[in-house]
Amino acid sequence: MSTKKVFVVEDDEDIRLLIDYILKDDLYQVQLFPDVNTLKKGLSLELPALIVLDIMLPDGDGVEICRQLKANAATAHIPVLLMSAHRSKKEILENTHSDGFISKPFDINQFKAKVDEYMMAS
Amino acid sequence: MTRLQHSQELLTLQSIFEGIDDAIFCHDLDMRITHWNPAAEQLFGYSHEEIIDESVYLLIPENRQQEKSDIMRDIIAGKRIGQFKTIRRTMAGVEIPVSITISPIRDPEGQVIGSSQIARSIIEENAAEEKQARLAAIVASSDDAIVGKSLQGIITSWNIGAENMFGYTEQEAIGQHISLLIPPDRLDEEDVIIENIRAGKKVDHFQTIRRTKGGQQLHISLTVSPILNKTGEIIGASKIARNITAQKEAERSIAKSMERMEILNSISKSINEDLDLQHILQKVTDATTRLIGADFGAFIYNQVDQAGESSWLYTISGAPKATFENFPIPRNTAVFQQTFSGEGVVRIDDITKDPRYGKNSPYFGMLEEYLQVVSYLAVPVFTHSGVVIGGLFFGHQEAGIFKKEHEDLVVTVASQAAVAIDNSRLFEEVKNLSDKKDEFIALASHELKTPLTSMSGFLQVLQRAVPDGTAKIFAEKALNQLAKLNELVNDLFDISKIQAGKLQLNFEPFDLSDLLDEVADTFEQAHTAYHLKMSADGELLVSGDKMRLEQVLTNLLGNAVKYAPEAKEITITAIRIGNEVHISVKDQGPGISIENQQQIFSQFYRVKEHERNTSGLGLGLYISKDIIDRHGGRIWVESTQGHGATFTFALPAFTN
Repeated sequence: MSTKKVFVVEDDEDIRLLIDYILKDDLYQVQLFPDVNTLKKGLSLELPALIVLDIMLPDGDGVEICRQLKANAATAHIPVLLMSAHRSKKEILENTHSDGFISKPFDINQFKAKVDEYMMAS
Repeated sequence: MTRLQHSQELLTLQSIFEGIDDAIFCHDLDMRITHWNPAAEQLFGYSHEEIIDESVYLLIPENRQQEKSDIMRDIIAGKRIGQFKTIRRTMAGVEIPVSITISPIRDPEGQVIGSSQIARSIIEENAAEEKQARLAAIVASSDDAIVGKSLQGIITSWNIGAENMFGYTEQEAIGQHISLLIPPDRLDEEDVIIENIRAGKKVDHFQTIRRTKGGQQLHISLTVSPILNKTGEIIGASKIARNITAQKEAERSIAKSMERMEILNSISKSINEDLDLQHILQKVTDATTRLIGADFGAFIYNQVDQAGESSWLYTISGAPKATFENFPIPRNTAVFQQTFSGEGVVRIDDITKDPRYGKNSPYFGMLEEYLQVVSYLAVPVFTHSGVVIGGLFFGHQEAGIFKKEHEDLVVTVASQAAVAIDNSRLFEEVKNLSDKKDEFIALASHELKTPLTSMSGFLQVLQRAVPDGTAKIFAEKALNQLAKLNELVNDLFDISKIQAGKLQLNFEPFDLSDLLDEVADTFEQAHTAYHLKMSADGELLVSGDKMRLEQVLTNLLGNAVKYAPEAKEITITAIRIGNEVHISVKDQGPGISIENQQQIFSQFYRVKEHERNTSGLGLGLYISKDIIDRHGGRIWVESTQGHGATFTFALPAFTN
């Protein structure tokens, strides 16, 4: 049985490293993407069980990407957790149909718990 | 004549002498009074007994005695003097005007032996005459025109005042019809006046217009009264006309200057309040066009943007904006040339006849077809540095409309407009810079969050990895400081949003007491040394942004810890008062001075005494106030120094 995957899209290298460190365990694989372009390539190869998506990306806007994913029948079922340094959480959830929100900086335990929750459910 | 007849005649004369109303008395040549009838007694006051044999000079004032002597010479010469008017004196010493007829008395030989006098008091007669003379003098000397006319409207009398006012001499006016003075469109008025007069009614202070011989129109106030003859029959009318043209003009000029003052006032007020350039230009154009009574007005303004590109802005009053489509660049047209080259005001009574502009009619370019401009006024608008930045242009279809006073008014407004334009330009610049600052802060706060996020994450990993001891404690302290840093960055970001008007709130109904419980839990976990006393009044529904209200509560609690570090008790009270929910956070700290209370909610304000001891940007309460304001609520502080401070915010209670 192939291990479930979580895609993490984050442009800052250190934050990618941190998230990789937090999430990595026996239950699922973490695949990291630095931008929208690489994510799209990744999605064309395989679909993950969850996407953790930063909002401000060098080649795109996470909110817009999320909307596209939810509008696409092939990816609509994949839960998306949006990540941002801005705390207007509620607004983002309502406008994008994303499944959850992670405010930066975050508590690493809460972060792991939130991702686990979706991975367990999938 | 028989003796009997003679005696009868004597008796008749006696009865006449006794019964007549005129005073009759006689004296001899010695001037001694010989006869005195009852009417004489009545007139002079002396009784028969008192006066007989007394000198007639008793009755004559000293200054008239010579006159009497002269008369006597005539009498002795046999002359009769009829109805001689003079003054006599009564017993009481009162001098009365009398008319006397004096005749000689002759003896049977024809020798004059005395004189008889018939005297009548003419006091009343005199008074009537005097009155008439006085009236005549008044009529003659009056500045008012006093005119008599018959019921048929024929002028019967004409005083000097009428001559001066209307220009016709007495000779020219008398015998003419009164319509001589009435403008054709007011002829009806005469019918109404005459109708009133016929009915015996006076027409009082009727304000109208009459025409002079020279054709000038006068504003007059008319009073017309009926003239009655002795039998009370109305035979004509006297009319008194007062020239109120000057008064009318004064009234008009006062009203006009009042209106101008008001307009000027409103211009300076409204343009100084306004910072939008197009608005200012429009207001100035409208107001000045109205102020000087122009048919048409335009404000043409040369705007240079930040990139140094010049463009023309214009506003119009009195003509549709479409009229100005394809408007030529003003600098290229001859009339505008003078205004924009700084040669000053141009005021022309009839531009169509002005040799400078001749038949080319370059004024107003395309407008010419729509607006027949004859009177023309152009006033340049200068910046404070003396550069021409625009011009005000006015037109009127009639010639000679714009006067020096209009020019002065527009020059005044133009200088005010210049100041307002300068202000608006400065405001634009400041606003651009401010917008850039807000953009910068938004970007900066985001950029700061990235290292904050990774630092916080790695520290958490380390903190969990190291065994209990100094390293773990230090890692915790570092994390606490990072949390503070994060709050500061959040505040900065909120401020940039608030100033840009982009702080979004998401309203939903919720129970504020639930939120209070959550905030209290979090607070107690983080501040174990503090004792938090809570008293919440059951369910407190509000419609609000939960996260933002949590931010306000956290800020108030945070301040209580920060500014009252020694006092370990904080009280939160939540109650419903009327239609509001009131939440108070009370500390036991040193309190806040009145001066600080007044400014504590303003941006960047920090309580002075604490400035060196406590960290912070002075944004927390400012943001809190903005959040509460946006909820339609209020936030305030109550404090007496030495007895702690209570911060309270009130929100409208939510009802279904």
